[in-house]
Amino acid sequence: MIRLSEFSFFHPGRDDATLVSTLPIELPTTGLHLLTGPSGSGKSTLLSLIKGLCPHYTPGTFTGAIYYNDELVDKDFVLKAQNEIVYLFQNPLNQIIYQNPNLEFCFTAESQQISFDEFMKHKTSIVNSFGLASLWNKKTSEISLGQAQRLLLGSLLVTNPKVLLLDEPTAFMDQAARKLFYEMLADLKQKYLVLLVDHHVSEVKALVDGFITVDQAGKVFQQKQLVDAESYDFKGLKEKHQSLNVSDGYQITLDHVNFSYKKEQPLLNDISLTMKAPEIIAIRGENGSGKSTLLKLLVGALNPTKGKIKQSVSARDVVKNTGYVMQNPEDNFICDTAHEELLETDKDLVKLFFPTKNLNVSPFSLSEGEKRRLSLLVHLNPNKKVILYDEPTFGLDEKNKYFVAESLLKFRAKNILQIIVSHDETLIKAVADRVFDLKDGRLYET
Amino acid sequence: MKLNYCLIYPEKIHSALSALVLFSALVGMFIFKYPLVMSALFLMTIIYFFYLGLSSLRLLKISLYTGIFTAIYLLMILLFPNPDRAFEPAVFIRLFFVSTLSVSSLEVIYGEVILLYLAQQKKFPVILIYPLLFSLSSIGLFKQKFELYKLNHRLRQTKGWVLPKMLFQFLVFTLRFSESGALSLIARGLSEKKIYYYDFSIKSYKSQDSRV
Repeated sequence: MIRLSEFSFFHPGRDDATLVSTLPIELPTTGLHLLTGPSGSGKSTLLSLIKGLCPHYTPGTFTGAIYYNDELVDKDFVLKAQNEIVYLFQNPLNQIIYQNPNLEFCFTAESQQISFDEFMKHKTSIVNSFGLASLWNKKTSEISLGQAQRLLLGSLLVTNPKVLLLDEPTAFMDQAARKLFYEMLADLKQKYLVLLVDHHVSEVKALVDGFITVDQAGKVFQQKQLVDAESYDFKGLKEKHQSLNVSDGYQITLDHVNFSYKKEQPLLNDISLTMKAPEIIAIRGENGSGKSTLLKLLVGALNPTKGKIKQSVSARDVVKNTGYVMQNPEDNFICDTAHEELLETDKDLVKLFFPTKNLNVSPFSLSEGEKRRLSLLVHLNPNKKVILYDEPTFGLDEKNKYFVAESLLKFRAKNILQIIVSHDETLIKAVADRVFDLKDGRLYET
Repeated sequence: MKLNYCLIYPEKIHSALSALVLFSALVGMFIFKYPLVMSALFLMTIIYFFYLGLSSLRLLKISLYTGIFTAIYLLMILLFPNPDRAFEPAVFIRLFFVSTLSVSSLEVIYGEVILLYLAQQKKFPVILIYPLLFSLSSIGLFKQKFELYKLNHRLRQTKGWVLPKMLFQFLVFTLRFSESGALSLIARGLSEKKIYYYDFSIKSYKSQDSRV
């Protein structure tokens, strides 16, 4: 059982508390508890406190106490309870140790000294459930974020822990993998305590036994039922923002495009497609199917191995006319402060996404959700002719997802071609004019 | 350290042995300065690398780069000769062979296996080996990051000399990356008591049939 007394946590250099709890929180030995709250409220910090990483291994000041089975969570606790509490971080790339995925899969179990027989007992079912066998002949640097997340999650689950702390494990998973994962959660919660941060609240809600909510001010409280959950009408968005009928919109034509990183492993196969402003095109597909690669081809960062990509401007001007929201938000930042990043962005949009936040801070110090919002704002530029989005709603709560959907539709009214790669069905249904599935290297319109 | 190996890493020849072959060839090239001996050593090592899986196309590409590197060196020597030292063509042959072998070895010798061999068989402390493994696995990621940063500056139409800005951005990334890597090692339970499911001993490579 996990028990948190009244506590407060301060990030270094900040006078106001990042997290405050005025009432004790108790979590039973089994069940699924969902951590909810707006992005940037401190959900990841709370998981880090429970694991004992914060403030013992990362900076910060903590007052109060956390107990696991009546044992105080202190600096030694992390090593002592290593095989009892496992923690999946939000960004999978920062956790990978090996180049070989097979070794990576074994690492957690090896570190926790799980016997080989015990390891093999769980291995097969986890490898099959997460479709990991396809990764064994690749390098970890070659796999997609979704695949990396599945690999790490599998590596943690194979240790058969008592408590699972999962920070957005489904953020980069496709819908099929997510469904399988939730089915697995339904089993796991019977035996273990699972603390989950997940913005797919509607999908996971039925499984949840309790909620821990962190509000915008960092106040933490426990609830049996999720109350005050704001709902947003995504369905009515399209009608609200009428589309334009433009005859000379920006156009991209893919003519029998093929691409492969390795000759023997073709990734994209004979793709032909015409996209024209002000369309919003959505591309779905399994993890590692080549969605992000397709965007890189469109922006000119990669060249097709066969076939041609024609755009309304010359190849030289493609970059000037394109906005590209990269999958990892941090890759989009080039300035010292978030404020500087947004100098060219519409002020109303900044106010919408960051109503109260002090932006005179390093963009890297923001939470993952805030980084995602910032990276979107950086590229939401009306002077661009085409904007590409790679997982634009990863790490965002419902409210911010709604703002993203609304902004995309507003940009459609500005005659901009927008192409989204996403696993977020709500967003796709709300904004997309055409939806494509990328499967076995080919695009299929749905 | 408790050992628990049951799996054998799928390699034709143990990377530690391959590293030893490479090291011997390089030392040989420094001891025997005759072009014929150097060429023989080079050829033998390259044939060995072909056996390990080096492709001829890859070798051609590497040779092109190392050839350019050697040619630049040769040009510098010709432009600014040292009056106290005689011109030695063998130096350039050696430079070309040494650099080609060294770069080619990265394709077939796995640093990961050597480090794990040192940790498992030679009892090197995991606190030393695992940060090195983490850095090694991130080389591919760093390469990707650098390309993305370059693209981002082009997209944002950054004015002026971009390279220093990119390097600073890269420095921030590596610092943050190493911090989270260390946290990951702690959170996943790395300690000196760590066991291994893979056998990285050299003798295990003889029993190829037991590979899983």
